[in-house]
Amino acid sequence: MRNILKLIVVLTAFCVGSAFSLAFVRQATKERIEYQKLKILVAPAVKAVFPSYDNDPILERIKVKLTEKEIINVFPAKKAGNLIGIAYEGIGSGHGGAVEVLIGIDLNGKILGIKIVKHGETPGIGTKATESVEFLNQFKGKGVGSKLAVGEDIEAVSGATETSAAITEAVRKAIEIFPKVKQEVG
Amino acid sequence: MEGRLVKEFTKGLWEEIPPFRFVLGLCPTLACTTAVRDGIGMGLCLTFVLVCSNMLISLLRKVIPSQVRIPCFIVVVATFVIIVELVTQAYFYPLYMALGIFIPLIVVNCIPLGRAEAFASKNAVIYSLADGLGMGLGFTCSLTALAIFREIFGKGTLLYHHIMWSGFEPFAFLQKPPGAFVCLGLMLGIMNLIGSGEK
Amino acid sequence: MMEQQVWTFSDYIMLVVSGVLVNNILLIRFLGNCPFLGVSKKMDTAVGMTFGVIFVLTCTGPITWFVEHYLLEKFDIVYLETLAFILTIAVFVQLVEMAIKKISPGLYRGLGIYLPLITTNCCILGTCFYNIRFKFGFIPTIVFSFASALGFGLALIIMAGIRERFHYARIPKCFQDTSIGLITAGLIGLSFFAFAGLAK
Repeated sequence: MRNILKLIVVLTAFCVGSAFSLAFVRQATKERIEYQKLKILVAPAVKAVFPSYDNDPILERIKVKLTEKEIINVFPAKKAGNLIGIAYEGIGSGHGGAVEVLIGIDLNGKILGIKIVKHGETPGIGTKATESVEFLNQFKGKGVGSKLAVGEDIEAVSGATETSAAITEAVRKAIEIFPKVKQEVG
Repeated sequence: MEGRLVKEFTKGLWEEIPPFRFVLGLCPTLACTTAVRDGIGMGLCLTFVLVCSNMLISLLRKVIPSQVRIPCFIVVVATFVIIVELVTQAYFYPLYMALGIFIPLIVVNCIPLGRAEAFASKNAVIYSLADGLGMGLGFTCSLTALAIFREIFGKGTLLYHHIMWSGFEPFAFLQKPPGAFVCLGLMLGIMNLIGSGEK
Repeated sequence: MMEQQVWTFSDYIMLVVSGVLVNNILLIRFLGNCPFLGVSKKMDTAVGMTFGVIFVLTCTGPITWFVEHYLLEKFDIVYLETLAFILTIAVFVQLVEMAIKKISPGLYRGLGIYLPLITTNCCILGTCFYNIRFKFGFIPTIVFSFASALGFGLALIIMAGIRERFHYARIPKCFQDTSIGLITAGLIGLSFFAFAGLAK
């Protein structure tokens, strides 16, 4: 009996020791790993949506809590230490699932640029909208107060209306939460 | 004691070098040697796991009951593997992406578990350290040698810099899986030739 | 690759073809090499190992899938994947070994000795990881695990068949045993490349 007890104690001790050390390493590396993953995912988009900046928006990302469950990453762009704009994602529902759009907005609520980060649209059809520089440039200059609706202030790409609507939806949703985000970012 | 320490360390570098003499750890040898950076990276990750697990197991060898030694070894090795996995993910992300599932597969790599069973559980900490370091570095050297060959002739680059002349047609076969097997087999054969020549 | 929501029967066939031939777990994906060279010297050891791997992998694939989706993801401890999987596999193999010993000593004599070796076979843990990386659902996990094991067995048996004939070949001393085994494995793998166009 004592033998089995010893086995159980030793094994448990090992598992506990392992769990503690792993939890510690995990906490220490969590931020950095998230940074690396985000860098691969959105770095090109962040570069594309801001005209110019001299900091590392991804490293200086701010977590903004929208609701109890929704926390988004906001990437601040700075020039000489001053905040010039923020970028964050809006999501619209397209033909092949969620369309994630990164939107760069200046402090007055005007859109500086948008870039598609992730989508499942059909190549050759839906991608006519996701890759059209003309279509994406339409959003520049619009912002808080714009209608952002297809057919009214946004022209859809012919043959890719569903995707165009999805992208517009994503931008609209992002603009809608801009006041709250700006407040949290300060 | 000095002599023995040196002996335990150097045996991993030639006489018992994995994977050539000690046929262990073949999977990462074949999979992670398409580029020198990956070969060195994999070798160093394995060396870290090997040295740490060897030392910890040797430290606790009197405490681990024989019946549950294998699960204990597995927990120790797996813990260090996860630590290596998290650290590479945090600080060497391109390497982490290149090595893929082979970092967590270090846990079933015969080298850490094999050395734990055969050596660390029976020897003092300082010798286990030497053994782990020797084997790990030997493994790293083997991987690097294979990777140098495969990268230079298979891709024309070394550490991702182009070093071959511009008209060079890379021998793409070396970069593919069958090429890895053939390359390793030939290198092993040549090593055996050199080894038998020494006797 | 293969991140589909709805699987048709032909998708499963493609999965099997891919696992066994096109992306053969051993010759193309490099998993399972250590026992490969040790066990492929004779046909009967090769067959024994094959059955062992097929059984263990087809069972542990789905089991580890459950562990990942209902345990690790629920508690947000996905980074412990490596530890959880290897312990699951080790415990499973241990239980199976004890069961076979009790139920059928004959089967144990034929198969049982390979079971501890299978625990540290990279092919098992590797396939369990691939099931997660490729984001397979439950049924595709079972099919892929089975197909990978089948591929492993196929490579192993072909290898054993060829190596048994090495007795009659004159191989230079320095290339004997492991060295020629590796070169042969490479050439077999090269022939599997011919299947590359069959599936993605």
